[in-house]
Amino acid sequence: MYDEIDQYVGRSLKNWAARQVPSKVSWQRLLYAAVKPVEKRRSIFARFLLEILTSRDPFERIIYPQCEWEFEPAFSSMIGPIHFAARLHLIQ
Amino acid sequence: MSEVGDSELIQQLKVGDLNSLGILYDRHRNLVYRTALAITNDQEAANDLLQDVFLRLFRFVDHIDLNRPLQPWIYRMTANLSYTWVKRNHRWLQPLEDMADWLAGSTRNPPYEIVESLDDWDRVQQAVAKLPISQRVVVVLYYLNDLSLQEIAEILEVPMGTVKSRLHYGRKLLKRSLGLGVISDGEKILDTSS
Repeated sequence: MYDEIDQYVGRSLKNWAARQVPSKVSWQRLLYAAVKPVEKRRSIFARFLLEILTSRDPFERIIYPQCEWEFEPAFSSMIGPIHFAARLHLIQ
Repeated sequence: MSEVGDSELIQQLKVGDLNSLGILYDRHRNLVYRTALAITNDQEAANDLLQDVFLRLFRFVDHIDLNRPLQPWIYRMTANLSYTWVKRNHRWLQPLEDMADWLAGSTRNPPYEIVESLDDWDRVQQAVAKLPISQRVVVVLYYLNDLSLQEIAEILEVPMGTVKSRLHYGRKLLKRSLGLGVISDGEKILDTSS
């Protein structure tokens, strides 16, 4: 009874989903929130910034200066994950 | 070199190896993001939920049973967090959206012929996004993730009869909102490849 609809809905939904990708920065956000020790966080961000600097993607080059600018204040105020993630999201 | 299994990565994560979390994230992120997005219909929320699911995996890794596959755990967490997000954010908005749909629906004509296209994919997703949340979760797990009724019942921790009923009513609503209720012999759902 539902065969045609099942196929149509299933296929359409899968095709729609295949075009959806998570934002590029979410892994860094995750690591930042997951890792507690400050030193580790610093090295994660160093890697993240290096990744952006060496990227060929012009979009990432554009967000780099703002990341750098936001990084230290967020870090020192210790409200890092929320503040930084929120700012990154705004930049996106 | 063969791919390291999920349970081995969980074992490594239990002893604090963050690279394992990275591998698990890369492996399952699209599944989590797309499921969350299909349920919430909100990209920002789906990105946040994606992060939240893996943060919980990291925090509660000691409670994860290595003898069971990880994917049902991931589905359960994604569905539960998405469900909670929708409930929290749409409590007041939904009745207004329903009213707007009802008003718009009165002037909408059912399509004579449905040809699958980019617009059509979005249309189906939007129709799914309009379903009541309990039906939407089941419909997404069933159609998008190809899970069986039994698997969905286990993930959502509800009886299989409940899953069947939610899917049945979800299908009915989808049929109606997609204008598929009047298909006759001359009207067919066409594949773009045909």
